[in-house]
Amino acid sequence: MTPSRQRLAFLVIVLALLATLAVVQLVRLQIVQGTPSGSPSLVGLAGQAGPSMRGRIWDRSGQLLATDDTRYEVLFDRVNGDFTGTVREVIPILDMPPDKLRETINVTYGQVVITRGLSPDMALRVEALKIHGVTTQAYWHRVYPEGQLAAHVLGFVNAEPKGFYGVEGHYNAQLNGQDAQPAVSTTKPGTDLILTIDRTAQAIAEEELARGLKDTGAKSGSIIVMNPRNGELLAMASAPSYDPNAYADLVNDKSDQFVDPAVSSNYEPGSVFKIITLAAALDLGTVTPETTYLDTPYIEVGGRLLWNWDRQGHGVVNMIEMMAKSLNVGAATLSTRMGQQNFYRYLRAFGVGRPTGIDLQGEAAGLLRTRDTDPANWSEADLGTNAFGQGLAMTPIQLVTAVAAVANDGLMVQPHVVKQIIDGDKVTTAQVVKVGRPITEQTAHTLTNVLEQAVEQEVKFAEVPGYRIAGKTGTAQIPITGGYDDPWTIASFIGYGPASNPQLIILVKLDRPTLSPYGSVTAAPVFQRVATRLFALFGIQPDAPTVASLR
Amino acid sequence: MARQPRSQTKNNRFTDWANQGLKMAHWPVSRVARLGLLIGIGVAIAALYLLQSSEIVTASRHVQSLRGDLAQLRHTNADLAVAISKAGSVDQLKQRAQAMGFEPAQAVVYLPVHTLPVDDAPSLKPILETP
Repeated sequence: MTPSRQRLAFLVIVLALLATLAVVQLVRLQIVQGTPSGSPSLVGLAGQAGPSMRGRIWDRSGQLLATDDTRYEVLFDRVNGDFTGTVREVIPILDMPPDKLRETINVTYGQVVITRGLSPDMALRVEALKIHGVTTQAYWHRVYPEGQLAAHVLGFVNAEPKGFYGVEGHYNAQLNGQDAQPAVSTTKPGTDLILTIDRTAQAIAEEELARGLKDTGAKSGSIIVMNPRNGELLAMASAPSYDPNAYADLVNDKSDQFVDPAVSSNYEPGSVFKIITLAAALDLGTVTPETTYLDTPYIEVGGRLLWNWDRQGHGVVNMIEMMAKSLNVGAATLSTRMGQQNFYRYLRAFGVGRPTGIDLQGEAAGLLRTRDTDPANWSEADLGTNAFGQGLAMTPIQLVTAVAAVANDGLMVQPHVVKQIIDGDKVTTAQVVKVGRPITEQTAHTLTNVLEQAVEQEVKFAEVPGYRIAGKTGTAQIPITGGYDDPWTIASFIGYGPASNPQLIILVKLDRPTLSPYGSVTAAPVFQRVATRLFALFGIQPDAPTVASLR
Repeated sequence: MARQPRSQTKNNRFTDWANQGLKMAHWPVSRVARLGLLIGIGVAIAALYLLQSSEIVTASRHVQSLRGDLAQLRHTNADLAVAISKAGSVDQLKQRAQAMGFEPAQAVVYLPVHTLPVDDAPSLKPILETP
């Protein structure tokens, strides 16, 4: 071989070696280290794009209330897919009607979703078929491990995923994480939330509400439990409820079960509103607890006769008796003595007719007509009826927030359900938001004392042994077009305790009870049971333990 | 004179064409050595580049695989968390308690302890640690 041929041979060998090296590397990378098999594909989650996990929701003690689990969807590629094989093999596993499957995959182009919501086991079975053009893809699916518990507080998430109602709706943007984009290959999970709700307290509230509905024949109802010191909601139950895991079953239902009546439904609060009327009168100095008036069966205000609930006159009574007997004439007497300017100034200070700003989706504002804001519809008679909670509308959470100001030494705080927001390493703790001080500390203490005596005198069913309870019953008519829906009522009781150091405020509201129309008979016993169990649950000490209280 | 096969003729032509420049140049040994050295360096650089790029691809695939593992683990963890939460849900606990013979208490007497300070309940205190 000539030297020139040797050189050429050398070059050829070098180039051949390089080419072989490149081929070996390609084989190693593409085949030896190729996509692992044996588990359902996680394309879209492990790769360049895909949705992120939605933030989790915990109760105050770390119990999981909402999170995501894994579900799979089955995809069919029409261009490369085996139509006949797919129809034949997939039907037995997916339990789909053949016609529906044929219709679904009978497209001329592109990729179609055959079905969604498969468990990992089912997805593996589909993958194992190895049908040409059929693949599975994982996605996050919202799940509520506690089922119906706190459904109205939580809300639900659709397939988009987008949150509706409750916390899911209000914090939707934060809960939704950052999906992977072509430029950013990793996903960012959504923000986690820790609620102020206590799972056990919530379960107790729901259990006692269900029992209350059954015992009284009420059609619906709500129970709200709040810490009046900081506005933390510990439980908020409404019935009828629903299972957010199966929200889709109710989407076409017209019963509005998704709407939380505790924050979204206005109602005439009735006699529980006398707490606010008396608070205003005491704070203004119009009366003291010992102030008396002559109680007659009715009082005329603005040309309208306003009757006591029992249509009886009770003679000379003081403010404690007025509250204990829940006398409409007494309440109207107070509001007229204060005058509409003063009366409505206090109502506004207590937040009547204004949303509380609670961090739940869909809060209603309530309704308050005054001569200044709605002169066309306001009449002098409203000054009288408003005093005992008629002719205006509030949401249950508004009422709790207002009365909580009395329990909290006159300071009103904003109610809230989210305690902490956890975004990676950043933890944001909710601060107490002070809304205002509608009454002085002294007035609050005086009123608490009045409410405590009123419970002792007339609402034995609400008493909790060992604890001093301040509270008020309510029996409200239900307004309909042109009048009231007789004989139906909304029976309620709102109370807080221990009166010496209030730590829980509880509202029980029962709609249209058949056992009795009165809150003292229907709602008060429910309050008693809830308060007794929650005082024990939270380890709240009694005010004045005595031997008698132990019996 | 025997005629050469056609393929051999083609090969000779190609060899002649390839060696033409070298023949005409009449390079000295030192120049050939320098050229060889340059070719060697070029080949080495090409090999290094190839190895480097393949390492990058390998690392990328490894990262992709780890991301897949991470996603898989996240899903597995989430599924386990759901299973644990369902097993410890209020309804489940009630059912298990009833299955074990427990029944809701009919009458509970709470005994107050005078010496305990009246304070906020433990569960009402701020959460210091996140779950």
